[in-house]
Amino acid sequence: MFFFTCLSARDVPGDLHSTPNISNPNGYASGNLETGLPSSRKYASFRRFSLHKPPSSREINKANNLSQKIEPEQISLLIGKDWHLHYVTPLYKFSHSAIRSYSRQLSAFIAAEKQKGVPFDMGSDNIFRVNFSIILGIAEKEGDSEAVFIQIYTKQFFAIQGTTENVIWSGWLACVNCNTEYISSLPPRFTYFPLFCSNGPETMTAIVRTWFQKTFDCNFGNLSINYSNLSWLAAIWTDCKQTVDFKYLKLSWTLPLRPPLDVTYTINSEDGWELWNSIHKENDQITLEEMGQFMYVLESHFFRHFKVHLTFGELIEVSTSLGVVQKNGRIKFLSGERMTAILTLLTENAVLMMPV
Amino acid sequence: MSVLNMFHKHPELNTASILLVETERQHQDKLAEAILAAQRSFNVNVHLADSLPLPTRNEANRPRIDLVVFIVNHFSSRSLELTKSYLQHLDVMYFLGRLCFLVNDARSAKSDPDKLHAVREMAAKYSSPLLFTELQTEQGLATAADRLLVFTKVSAGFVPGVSSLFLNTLTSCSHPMESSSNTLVDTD
Amino acid sequence: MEYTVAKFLQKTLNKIPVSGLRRILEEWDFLSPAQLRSLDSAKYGPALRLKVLALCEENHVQTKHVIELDMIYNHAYSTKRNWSVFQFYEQQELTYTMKVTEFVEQFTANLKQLTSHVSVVIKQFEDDALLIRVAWGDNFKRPNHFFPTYAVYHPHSPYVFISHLGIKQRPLLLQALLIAAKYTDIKEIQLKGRCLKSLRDLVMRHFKPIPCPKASQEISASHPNITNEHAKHQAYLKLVADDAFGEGTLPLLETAVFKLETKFKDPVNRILENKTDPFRCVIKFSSPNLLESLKSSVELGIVNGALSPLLTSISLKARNHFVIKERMPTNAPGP
Repeated sequence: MFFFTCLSARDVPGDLHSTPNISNPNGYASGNLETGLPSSRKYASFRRFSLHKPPSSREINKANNLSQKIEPEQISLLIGKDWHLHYVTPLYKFSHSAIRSYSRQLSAFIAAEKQKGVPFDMGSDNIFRVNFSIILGIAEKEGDSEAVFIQIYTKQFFAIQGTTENVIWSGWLACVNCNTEYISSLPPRFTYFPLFCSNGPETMTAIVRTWFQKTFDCNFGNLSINYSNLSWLAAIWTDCKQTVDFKYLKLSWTLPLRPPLDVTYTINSEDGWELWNSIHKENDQITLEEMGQFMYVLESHFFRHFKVHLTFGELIEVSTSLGVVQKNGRIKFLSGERMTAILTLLTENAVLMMPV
Repeated sequence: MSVLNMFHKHPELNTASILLVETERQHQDKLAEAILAAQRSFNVNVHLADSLPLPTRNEANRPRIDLVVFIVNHFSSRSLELTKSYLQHLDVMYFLGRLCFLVNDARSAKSDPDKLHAVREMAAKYSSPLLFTELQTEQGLATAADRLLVFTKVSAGFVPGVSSLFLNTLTSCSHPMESSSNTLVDTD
Repeated sequence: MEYTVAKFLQKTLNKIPVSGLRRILEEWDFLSPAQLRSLDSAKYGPALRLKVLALCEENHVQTKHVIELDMIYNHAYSTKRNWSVFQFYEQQELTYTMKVTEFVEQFTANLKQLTSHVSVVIKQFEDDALLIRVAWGDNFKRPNHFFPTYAVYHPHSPYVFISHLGIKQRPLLLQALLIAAKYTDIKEIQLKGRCLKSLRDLVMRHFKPIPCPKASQEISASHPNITNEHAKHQAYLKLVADDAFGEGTLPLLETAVFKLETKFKDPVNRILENKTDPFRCVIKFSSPNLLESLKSSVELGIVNGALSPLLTSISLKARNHFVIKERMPTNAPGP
């Protein structure tokens, strides 16, 4: 009786296998997973083991500007919009060559949903047309799948011929610099796009997600960006100063006082750049220590004046004129500079957040 | 450096004492009330503190503390740093099963996996249990109180034949990285 | 009804929230009691407003009536505007007691002399405040009633609270105020906020905390078996907070902006050690009630002990925009 109560007292969520001394050590623990796909064991543990450790450094190729690798009209699709970030599980039987039929299928699905009476914020007289396209140049490694861009156009049903269609929703699936071991461990016929970005009404995003879930048996979830990733972005953008000029680096914190206090810390970019330069060694890598030190000295400068530790609160937004990123998973790119490094970071984050 | 000592005082008859340490003082009070409202066969005194070392002026009136609970706020990194600094003020005897870490609302969408990871590492380093609780609801408070009372009962010596060190070998939090790296094939 | 008057009235009515509409209409006193009673039937906001519009048309409403309505609304809902604080210096005649009518005449005459196309209306409210409304025009346009400047002046104090003043119109308005109030100089204090009453309290030091030695009261725990080890310390922190901020309700400020131009110091890592130029950054604090937040930071122990001098100077110096330059040990709050 006593043992039973003490078992309930130990409460480590999810990972039965992390306390091998209590469960049967001969691999009995996760019985139902044994009957699954044999490689699923391998990739789940790969994921936990190799990816849970934060990378100690990030490559930022100095000459890296995505605008140079992608055609201008395609880059303008990505820049300047507020993207809501999601993570995605691998898609089953997705093929890049079938995107035309996917366009038709999704249009039909949207029309069907409308018939069913699913709530839409758009007008009831509109017809929708979907266009899938491939954006070459975002994917980096060999194992990465080429990015797929989706646009949903709308037009009034009774509109005369020749009226222009408006884009009401855009989204894209991307895979940038994903862990090759993980991708190679995926069973055949699975395509992996860890990152999904959407821009447009939430009702439409829900419909697109439902269609993907039904067609490719995948799952979506909201991606949130934690403190260390926000710090990476602050470091990456500050490092851009030598190639692209921007005026300030703005960090927004919120402190849990009663009532909550928001602190916006705007740093002059030249001074921030000098500070970064004195921390960062001249090479193509930003290390974890450099990033940590950068944030630490900024916080201690604040502490020196106001005697309040910013770490009591949460960092919720980092913004420069190169882009804005928020903790709740919203990002806006205002320039293609270093976008590959940022997308790599977001991809890693998405892979980590994905449940097994 | 003043240190909270385990065996400098005599225990009282059928009474146990718990110390709840929380920097932000958000959940202490409610948890203390839940502990006192829970079903138990012995008296309990709950002491609330927001940091260690405890003020010396209360030394004379303070009973022997049987269980020390650190409520860590995993939303701020400062809370974790401060908790680590408080650990220096505990007598080494507390680390043998009379110490426990508690994290609230780990399932929240706002929680940061990195920070949770850091709390787990700390708990594993000191071989102490880590409880995940939901102190926002009545039910959650009652459950957490029951769990803490189980630990207290053993620490205070009310269960014959079981010592707190023995319980600790079963309940301590293991290091989040060790197990998965060594048993790559078996565990899944 | 003339188109411009109708538009002006409609815009003004749309701003007034439905809950306060009745009270404001009563204060306006333009509609007869019978007409006001007839409004009882309309429950919906838009329907109510349409009815009011129709009734006003019946009564042949004109621009001057709508101006009055606008002023009543802005007096009642002054928290919807951002107010800046200006201070008069060097009164010309020390024994001069202001007569309200004289001020009004002088101000209107002066402003009309400086620029001809303005509409000036001044109204005095119960709390002795003069609400001045100026709608600006020029040689090509009639006065723009949609973006007027509002100023609140208490005749026996050297402070004016101004909202929505454009750069071009600034010297004109300030000059007219100076002449009418008989001062030599007027300057803007670095204090901005939404709540007029709080701004007034801050500048006139009405809320200043009286540091009386009070015994700290410990909050007793709810249950006899619960002991708070740090009860005394928490009571002490509360005392420190009360000393710094005073008890009772604090003036409502929404933001505080600090422009820092101090040297970057990092003795541990010696970063930027040789640089003499200051490290420039701007820090903005914002909160529904800023001073309450700062007070709670002391009580919760997030700040060790007392607040930093930069933060206490918000209430001490009654300003919320600071420029901090390197001049240790004292700061130099800029103009």
